[in-house]
Amino acid sequence: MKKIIVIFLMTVSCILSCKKWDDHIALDSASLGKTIYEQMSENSDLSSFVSYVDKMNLDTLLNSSRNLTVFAPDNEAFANLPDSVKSNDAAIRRFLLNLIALKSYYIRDQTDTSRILMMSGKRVLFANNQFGDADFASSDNVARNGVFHVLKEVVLPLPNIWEFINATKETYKQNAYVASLNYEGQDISQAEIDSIDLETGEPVYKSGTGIVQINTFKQKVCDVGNEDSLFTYIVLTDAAFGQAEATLKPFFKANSEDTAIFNADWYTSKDMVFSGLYDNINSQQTLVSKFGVHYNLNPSTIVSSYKVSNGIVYVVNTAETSLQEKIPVVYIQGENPIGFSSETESALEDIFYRKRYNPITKDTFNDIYVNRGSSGANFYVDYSTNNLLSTTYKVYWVALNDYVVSGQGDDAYGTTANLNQIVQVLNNDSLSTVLFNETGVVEPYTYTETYIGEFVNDAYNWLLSYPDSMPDGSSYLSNPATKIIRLQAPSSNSSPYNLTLDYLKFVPVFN
Amino acid sequence: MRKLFYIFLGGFIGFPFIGVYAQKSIESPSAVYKSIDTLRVSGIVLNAVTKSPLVGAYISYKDFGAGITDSLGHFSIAVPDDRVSLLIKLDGYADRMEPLKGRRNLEILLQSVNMGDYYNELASPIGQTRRLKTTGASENIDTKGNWTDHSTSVDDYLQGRIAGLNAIRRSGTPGMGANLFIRGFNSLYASNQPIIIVDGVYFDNGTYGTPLNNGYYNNPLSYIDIKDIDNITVIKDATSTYGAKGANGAIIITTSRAHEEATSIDAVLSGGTSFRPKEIPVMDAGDFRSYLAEMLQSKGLSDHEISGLSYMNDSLSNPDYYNVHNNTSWQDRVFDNSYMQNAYLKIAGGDNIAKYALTIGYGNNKSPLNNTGQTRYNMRFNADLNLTKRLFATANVSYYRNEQDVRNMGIAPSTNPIFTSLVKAPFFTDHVISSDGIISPQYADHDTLGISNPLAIMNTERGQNNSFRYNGTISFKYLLGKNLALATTVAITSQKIRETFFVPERGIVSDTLMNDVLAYNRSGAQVIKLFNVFNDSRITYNNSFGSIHDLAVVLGFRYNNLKSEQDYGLGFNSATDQLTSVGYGLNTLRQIGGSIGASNWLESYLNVAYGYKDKYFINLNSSLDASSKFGRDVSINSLRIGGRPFAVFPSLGLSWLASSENLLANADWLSLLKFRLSYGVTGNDDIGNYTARNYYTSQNLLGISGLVKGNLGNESLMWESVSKLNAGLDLSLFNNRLSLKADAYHNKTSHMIIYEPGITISGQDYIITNNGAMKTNGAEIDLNALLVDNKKFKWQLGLNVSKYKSVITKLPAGSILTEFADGTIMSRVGGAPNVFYGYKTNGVYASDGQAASEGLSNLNNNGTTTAFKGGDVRFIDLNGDKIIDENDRQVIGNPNPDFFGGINTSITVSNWTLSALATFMTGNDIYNYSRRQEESELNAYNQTEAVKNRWRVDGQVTSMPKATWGDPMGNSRFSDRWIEDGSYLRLKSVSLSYNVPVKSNKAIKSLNIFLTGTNLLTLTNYLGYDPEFSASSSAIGQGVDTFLEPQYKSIEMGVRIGL
Repeated sequence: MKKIIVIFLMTVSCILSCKKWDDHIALDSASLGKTIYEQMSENSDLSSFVSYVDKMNLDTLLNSSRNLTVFAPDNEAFANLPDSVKSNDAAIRRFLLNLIALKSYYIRDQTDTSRILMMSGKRVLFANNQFGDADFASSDNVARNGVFHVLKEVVLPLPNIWEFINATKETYKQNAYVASLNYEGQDISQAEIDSIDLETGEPVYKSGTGIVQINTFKQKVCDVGNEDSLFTYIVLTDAAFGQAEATLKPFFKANSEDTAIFNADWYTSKDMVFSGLYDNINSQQTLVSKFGVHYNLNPSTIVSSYKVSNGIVYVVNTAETSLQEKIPVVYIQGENPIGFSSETESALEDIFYRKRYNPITKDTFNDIYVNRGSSGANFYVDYSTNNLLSTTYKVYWVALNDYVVSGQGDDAYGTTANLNQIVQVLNNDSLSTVLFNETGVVEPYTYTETYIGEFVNDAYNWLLSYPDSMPDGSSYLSNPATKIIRLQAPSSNSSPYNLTLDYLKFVPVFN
Repeated sequence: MRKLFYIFLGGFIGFPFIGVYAQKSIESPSAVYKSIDTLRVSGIVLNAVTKSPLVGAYISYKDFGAGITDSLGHFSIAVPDDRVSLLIKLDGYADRMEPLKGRRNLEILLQSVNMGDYYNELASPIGQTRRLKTTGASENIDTKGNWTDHSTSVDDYLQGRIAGLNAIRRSGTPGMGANLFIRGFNSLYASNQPIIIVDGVYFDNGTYGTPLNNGYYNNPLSYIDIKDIDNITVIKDATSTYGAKGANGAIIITTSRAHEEATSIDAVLSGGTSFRPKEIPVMDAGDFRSYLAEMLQSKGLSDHEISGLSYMNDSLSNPDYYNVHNNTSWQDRVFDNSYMQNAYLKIAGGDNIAKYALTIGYGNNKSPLNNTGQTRYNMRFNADLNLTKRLFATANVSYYRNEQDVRNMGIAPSTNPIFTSLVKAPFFTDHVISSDGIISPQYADHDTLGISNPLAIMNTERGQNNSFRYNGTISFKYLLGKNLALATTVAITSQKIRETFFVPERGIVSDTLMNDVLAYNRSGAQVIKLFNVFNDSRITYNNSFGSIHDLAVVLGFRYNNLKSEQDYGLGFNSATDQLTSVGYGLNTLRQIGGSIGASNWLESYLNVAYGYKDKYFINLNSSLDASSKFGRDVSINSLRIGGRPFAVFPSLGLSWLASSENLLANADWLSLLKFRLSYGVTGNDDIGNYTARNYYTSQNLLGISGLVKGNLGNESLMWESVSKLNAGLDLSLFNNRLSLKADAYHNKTSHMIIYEPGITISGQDYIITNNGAMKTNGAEIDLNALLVDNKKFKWQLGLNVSKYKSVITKLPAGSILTEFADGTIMSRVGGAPNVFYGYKTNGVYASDGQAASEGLSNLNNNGTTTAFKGGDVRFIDLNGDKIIDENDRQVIGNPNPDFFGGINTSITVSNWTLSALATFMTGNDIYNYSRRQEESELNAYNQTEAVKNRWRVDGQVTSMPKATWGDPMGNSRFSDRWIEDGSYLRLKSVSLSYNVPVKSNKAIKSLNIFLTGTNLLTLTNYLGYDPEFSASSSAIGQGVDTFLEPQYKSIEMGVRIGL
């Protein structure tokens, strides 16, 4: 009897105390308690979608608590699903995963350019109340594990630029060239660490580990397979590509004809990828490549265009770039030497890397000043460059020769006299081969360019598409096309033998 | 020592000031009234129910005359006047004072049920007296041994039983007791707790030093076994006799003594179950994972980063799969039904020379919070000795030992098991699981979301509180003459609390120390010592003049010397979790500290009670208090003796027993009508031992320790002064079957302690001054009715309701804002002393458009503003500037109740008795800090299921705002979203007992079986485990739910055997 009373009281108290919470946690609508899959299963307009989801065993995913967004085409839209997709399980799966995102995206999350990452790995534009190109039949259906939107059309996964290039390499020579630039390389994210470099603190990777196939176009120019960014890619028709190749070939004279052609091809295609999406080309539009080369995209030259998942591809019949931009002026910065004739302590002590003010341009600049004085006869500073193509360059320098007195009683340095400096261009393979050798006079306090002489480069014997280093660890930064530039003090009668250089400038000469 | 001398000197010199007055009042009836005629009054005493005559009832009028009823219930007695009252006593019946009102022949109906307590004896500051004769508002509980009660301490027991006493239990942890607020608040920063007197000895109820285990409270009142208590008197109005300690009323406790010479042995054995609280509905693993993913998305994590989290990876090849794909009910891991066992033995007896009462108790009360609970051992020995005809002595010795396993409660995010169990992600596991799904016995470490493993807190953390309290009292009373006596009481109290804790590394989130060092494991030990020496010496004079004048005078002094000491050590980063004591911690990180306190209190007091014809009563109390805490230069309300200020506290009480007037002789329905009026001044000396002095504190600067000025000593610092005015009415009708006590009062605190902001040049953040003032008005009613009064069936029902309103009347520097639990509590002039101050809200914006049309913006920390959008909370823009900032705060809640009280009932059907006590509180607001953590939607804490309704879609109408990491719009700020109505009605205890009929000649004298349920039913709309808690003992901090251990239900069954 007593127990019954107690149990009764306990039950009453439980009922009463539970109720306050029941009111508080009651769901505003029943759908908030149902998963996306459960809600879709109850929706007769989505039976086709659900049947495909079932077929691909994606129901577990759509029931899971991953907080998803699903863009589900309704039954009417499914009528337009191409047979090629319907008949291929892999394609269906790809198609479905391209409609599911692992985050929740509501209509209010749209911006004009929002591209959301789908489970297919691709990003799809979710903007202006559209998903891709499809309109919504209904949107913002909130579920326990996310949200789903119903589409009026099917949205098929698009290829990206890289996939496009590979798919059309038979069609376009340019794509064939780009697709062929495959080398073995070392992926440091997969390589084993051998040791830590004591000086730099950087890891040293074991050679022969983490070897992958790399495409140097993707590596050196632009990773056009990246789905996270948008690119505009221009493909030249074969005729236009051939013409561009012919124009550039003279700048790549080489011992081998193939080397010359491939380098011309590289120089053509490297400036054909542009960051950003440029669609709706109605009038001429100027695009700038990663290397600063402008491309005037003229709608009349566009043969065809393709929408891809990470941008747009145009096929054009005329290459619209200026040769002057393609063949750049080469600068050698004085403050970036690669070596000296003597690296004794006393010599290095006399080398100043300075920051000076140019009263003409009103800019500060960095330069080098070698204050060797009377002991500097024949002292030289070496620079290198890979950028001198096979053409004629006019050589200039800017070199500041000044006399600096310290206010604190330290030794003054510099000179008020003229300096005589020699500029040489040497072949990387044999330093004894002097390709250029001119002497110039540096008058005090000159901030302007001084013409030194004309240099003719007659060969470029290296493939630009080569990777910078090989899996065995050898580096190609220094190669047969590399030129050594030497700034040297005279051997006699010119004391003080000081050297100074802001930069050397090699200006190509076009006929 | 010199100081002591002066104080003593002051005390003695102080006497003449009062003495002059005292002598006057003693000698005033210079012509002693001699009664010339004696009257004879006769009558009959009957049982009120059966109307059968009662034999052997003792009828007396003082020592003037006495009689005993014969077999027909008749008696006859001589009295000096026909306007006096007779006292009728009979075992098994309630005492009765019957006014003659001119009658010569009486019919007296005695009740076997004690109704209204008007005729009871109660312990007053001047000794035992009949409640009828008091002039103030005092209440009395005859505890009758509390055999069936499950309260773990007196303060808990008192809840709901006394009108005007708001006892708020601190938490459900056994022994935590309750904060006792008699008639609202009298102070902001000083104590609001009443003075406790146990068997005439000042019982130091203070806590000295903060407990190491967060949320624990060293409750001295738990050191009195509730079954040891015979009688409790609560004095609610002017208690000037306790002078500087009487501001918050007084509770006088009398422990059990032998009442008769025959040996009686009572044994009680009981055992029961405590029930785990009802779980708070937090989200399950699935709902939480969706919510968390949304949170991480709003934090800005990319798809790859989210997918890279192991709990988002549903592949079985994920090596962590089994560790992060569970649906753990963490509250399950923390709470469990538990048990309790209690045993008690009382032996009393003696002869005409010596009487004794010996009690021994044992209790083991496990809490539903796993691995925690209290074990206690206690004994008490009270002896009364008649040494000579003139010399009497009593000796009381008590010892109480408490051993308690506790965990950090309150705001302790990494170690509070309740907090972690509520916010921890349910997909984690309590034990490590291998990649093959095999469960290891190893506890899982704290998770990647930064929440400790509650099971590790419960099972591997240690928190202990071992304490004892010893009290030894000896008193002597010497009769100098028939009416004059000298008495003295000397007592020492020694209390020691030893606390230890160890927080292991495994499973628990590390702390960061002040010097940015991570504390992996933590240990601590603390000892708090308390030593009190108390003396109360007095001269008492009692006399009746002419049989119609009663005079009682007590002149005495009390002295208390307190020494307290706290020493603690904290250790960090011991080598392994097996090395758990402070000494194993790293030397460089160890912290040690402590405090020492001492204070002296000396009081001389005078109480004069005068009664005329048992109808008119005057009570005069006054005291003269000196305390080491007072500043030396106090000049207000004080006398200067020996260069020290002595506080003067006078009080006066009047009462008129109107029902004893002859005018009402024929009003048979009126048993009693009494009017009471009292006014007095009391003080509160809880102003800090050294606040008035200049002192220095140590400070560490760049590794070098030095002393810096700790305060600006204020030698004018004085006690808080509380004046109390009380008007009361006692009414009893229909032969005491219906009784009413009503009181209204006005308390005024002046010289209230305030922390004033210090001026910059002083180098002090604040200066403590007496510049505040507060007042409290209130009223209380106590109704008691004997609804059914049959021979076999009796039903008694009682109700008490109280109301108070405290208002601050003076503050020196604007309103006081106090931050507590991320909320703001405000006190300002004209308002209640501790209201919640925050933002008001009006739902959630359903859409961006709606938000834009209202055009409100949030003021960010860097001064910029951000417009509210859909899914944000609609805050009320109080000043209309379209920007929600701190100027838009307003009063959003008041933790003070509108009404509180208790309902008690007792139904007796033959040998069965069902008694119940329900307590209630209405209109009090609670700041639900706990729910704020569970519904703030700003971090990775698990949330209640209500968060499933969170705003997600434009146009969604909901009351739950959107989930955003870090809550940049402040949707979870301190607002009325977290303020709830804390009204509740609770069936606090219900017990059913059965008196097994035993034959008196058998070995067993009595046998009683009982079943007691505690907290069985609580009606409330409060969204938490329980609406009752008290996070701090001060006015500020009431009504804030900070994850303390909730009150739990329990059922206990026991048997009491009398031998």
